[in-house]
Amino acid sequence: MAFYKNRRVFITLTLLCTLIMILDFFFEALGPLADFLSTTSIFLGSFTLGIGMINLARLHYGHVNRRTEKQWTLSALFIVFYFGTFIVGLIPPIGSNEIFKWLYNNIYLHADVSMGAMIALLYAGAIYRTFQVKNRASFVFMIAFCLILLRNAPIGAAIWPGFTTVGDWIISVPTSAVFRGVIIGTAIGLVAFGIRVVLGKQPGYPARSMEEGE
Amino acid sequence: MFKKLFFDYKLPVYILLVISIIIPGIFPFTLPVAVPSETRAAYMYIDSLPEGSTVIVSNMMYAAVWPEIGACTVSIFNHMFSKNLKVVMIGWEPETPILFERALDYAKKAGALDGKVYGEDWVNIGYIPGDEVSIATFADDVWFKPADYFGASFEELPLMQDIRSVGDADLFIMFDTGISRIDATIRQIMPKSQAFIIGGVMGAYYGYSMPYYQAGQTIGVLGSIKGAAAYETMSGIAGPASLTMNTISLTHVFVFVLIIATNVVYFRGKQGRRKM
Repeated sequence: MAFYKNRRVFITLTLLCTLIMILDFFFEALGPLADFLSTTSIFLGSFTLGIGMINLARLHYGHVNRRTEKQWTLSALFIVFYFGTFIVGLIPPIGSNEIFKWLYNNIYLHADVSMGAMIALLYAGAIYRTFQVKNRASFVFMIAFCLILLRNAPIGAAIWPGFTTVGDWIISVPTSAVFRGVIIGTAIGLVAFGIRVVLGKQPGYPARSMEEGE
Repeated sequence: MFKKLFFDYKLPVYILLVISIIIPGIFPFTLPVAVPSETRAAYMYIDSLPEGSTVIVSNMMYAAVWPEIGACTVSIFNHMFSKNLKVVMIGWEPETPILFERALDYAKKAGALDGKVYGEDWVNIGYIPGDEVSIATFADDVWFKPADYFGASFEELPLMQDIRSVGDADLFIMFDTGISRIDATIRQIMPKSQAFIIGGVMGAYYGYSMPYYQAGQTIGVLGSIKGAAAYETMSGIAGPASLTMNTISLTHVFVFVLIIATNVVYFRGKQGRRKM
């Protein structure tokens, strides 16, 4: 079996890298090696951006090539804007020239924010469907929701200053308590996940094809 | 009628929502904004910094969160530049450097950047990919990406000469857009910084950041547009957040009325079904 298909090689590499980073964090040993690993992983992150770009271009080029019904014209438009923006971004200074900033600030930003703003309509519909008092739990949920709503809007404090006090208490006490549990639980889960990965006990790491010894 | 309203609610709800958004634009009004204690704490700390103090600002904003996190960024920028603090900006999303420039445009309009020079009073480092790994690397070595957003080397920027790690700055302010990123920044940066503030979180994660505030790991928290508007109230420099609070007031009242209406419709419909 080729070494790059051998599951044990990847588990051993993972364990070695983890040990290097732990030794550097707790004992400040192997500093240059740990810095090298950190910098390399940042470079790898940059490469994944490039891979994402290529995949997206391939996907839409495929639609245009095959003349996929109801899709290919939109894909063609996407490719024109996609590569047009990319080429404009390459004009020096790369990624920060005035034309690129103008395109971003006057076209992309407003389009993206508008898409997000449409969620308000979905929320309004969801609130109308969801906040019906069907049992005690939904009643408590509705009351807490209304109190937070009136705490967040200045008009709530104008109606009655107590809304701010009550809303602050809800956020500071019960909500914080719940999120404190979530934070601690997540941290413990992350540690357990990491230990399973470095010991090779995590299903799916590395890829299933390696586990099956292909 | 109630059965019809129960199922065919979308059009009237959407129309009323749009009207509640438009009305404050036509008939503007101003209501005082209550300042939460955590926002007041953040303001008081930044206000107490001596002139010339250095602040590192870390942000993860992108276009969709500009209304929330951008408002927090603008409110804090206006205050920091009016106090003549030195600001180093770093972004962890590809769009963040451009949005930093957009936030600086607001500061320029407010006059906070008058007499200030890029490279001496502020630096925009740009975007570094890699999430928590790059945050951890940046914490120890700010110079590991030794050029700014415009391609200028740090050697040419006077402000960067004394900043080699996050501990060299007097304050670190983070603006974050997700739970994992709030945790990552607090894990990697907070222990190594002289002072740490959560300068802006999205409304959905405001409660998530409160345990950190209560544990003393952050001096203060600005929660979404409300936090930004409260901060602008304290600093006295109006920004986009204060203008948005009018719309937020009316839409929140609309949602409150909607909740009452949905329960009236539900219970009347239930009584109708019982009679049948």
